[in-house]
Amino acid sequence: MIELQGIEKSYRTRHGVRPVIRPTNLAFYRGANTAVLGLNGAGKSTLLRLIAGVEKPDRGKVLKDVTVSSPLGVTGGFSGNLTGAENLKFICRIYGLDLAETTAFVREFSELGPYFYEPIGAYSSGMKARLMFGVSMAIDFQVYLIDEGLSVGDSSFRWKCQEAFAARRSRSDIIMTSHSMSTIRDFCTTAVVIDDGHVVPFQDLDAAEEYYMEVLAKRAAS
Amino acid sequence: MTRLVQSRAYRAIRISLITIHALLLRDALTRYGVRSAGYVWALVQPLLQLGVMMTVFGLIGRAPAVGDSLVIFFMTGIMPLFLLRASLIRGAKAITQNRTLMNYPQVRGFEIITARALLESITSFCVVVLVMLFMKGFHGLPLLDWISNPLELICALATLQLLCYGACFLSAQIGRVFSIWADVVSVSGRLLFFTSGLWYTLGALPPRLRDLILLNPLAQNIEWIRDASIAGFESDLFNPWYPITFGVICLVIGLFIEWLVRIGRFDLIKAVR
Repeated sequence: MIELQGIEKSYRTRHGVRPVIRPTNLAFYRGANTAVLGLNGAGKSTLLRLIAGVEKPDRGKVLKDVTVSSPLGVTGGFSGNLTGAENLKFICRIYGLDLAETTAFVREFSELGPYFYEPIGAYSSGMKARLMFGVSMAIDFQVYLIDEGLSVGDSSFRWKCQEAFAARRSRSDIIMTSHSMSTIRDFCTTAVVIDDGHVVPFQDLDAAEEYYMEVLAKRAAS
Repeated sequence: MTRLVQSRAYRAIRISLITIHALLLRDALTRYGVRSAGYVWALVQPLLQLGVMMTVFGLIGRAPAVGDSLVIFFMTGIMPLFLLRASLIRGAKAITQNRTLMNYPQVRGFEIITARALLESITSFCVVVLVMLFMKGFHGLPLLDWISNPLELICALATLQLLCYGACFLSAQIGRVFSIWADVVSVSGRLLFFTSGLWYTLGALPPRLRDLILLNPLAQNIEWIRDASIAGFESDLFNPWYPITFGVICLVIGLFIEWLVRIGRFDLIKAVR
């Protein structure tokens, strides 16, 4: 379980302090994949970063008794002038994984072929996403945080990810952000909607979508 | 309870060390951005620079200010300078260049900066050893000529490490806040070049100028290193505590900024942007 106890986060901007997450109590239980919905800049990524422990909340605590991945995004965590293999080597080192075994797995999963040994700078965003997911599937996390990473992959790759996640459904959950409702429906069963810093949990995807549409409409009207 | 706390601290330190190791190897690979040569460049570049400078000063027939060997006098001055300059310049961009890596919770400013500072030190050490071996092999300069007082030399070099680590840490934290810092610090090499006692010993300076030069911790450190390294050269013009204190203060300020950023409310980069 991941429990957020009274967490709060704001960023300072030129125009003063801007609250991103207002005081929030929230729990993510095992066995449910959760979507995080919200407008651009609503604080979806911030929420994931807080859960991952990459950022600290201003107030409150994040309690975890599960292993959580770093937020898997489109670009994060790779440096462009290193090859896929070299980036992978670094990740193996910091997570203490067996290099040969992991490399074989990631090569197979990401289907990058010869590009695996090319600098990441030459990758398309879909290739980056494939590498990213290959790497994270190689590490056994109990909760995967996915920040928009899936939307760039083609449908066959998305299907592959879905299968991989389904295979480990019994031990791993997903918390993901996406703007595509179809991706979310493919993966998630519950959702939270972030609106103006308020994090509203929903047990049901339809109810969450309805609320999110209201938020969108409100934004369009203002 | 205490055992739990102990094992948690032990785990945190272990993770930190593993991360520093991984970052170090990664940094060595990207040090010059030259893919094919990789780390070799990091060694070849200062060696070439040294070679050119030595040739020039050999040709104009400059004699060492103290000791018998121009090479030793020169190396004991230029290598600390190279190290400090590299720590400042490479430190300034440490955080901004590795920001994406901070998506991994293990990787924090502290690990990035420590790995960088370590890499610079190791590189300098390798260069010195290569030069020592070269001089032994081709000019018959005995290796022991480089060391006059071993214990003191270790202290002086440890102080240099501390000074450079502190400088790297502070530079990285300033660079994380003000992007212009990288440009400011890139001229530090020239400033250090003339104020660090590269060509002279402190004793050779007129007292008024010397008081000014003594403000530079590197000048005092270089004098100390020469005192310990060159046989027959004794100097009492430096104060060992000055570079030590300077390094510690830089490090403490750097760690303080790191802490401010880590507790989140004061992510200065976001404040300035």
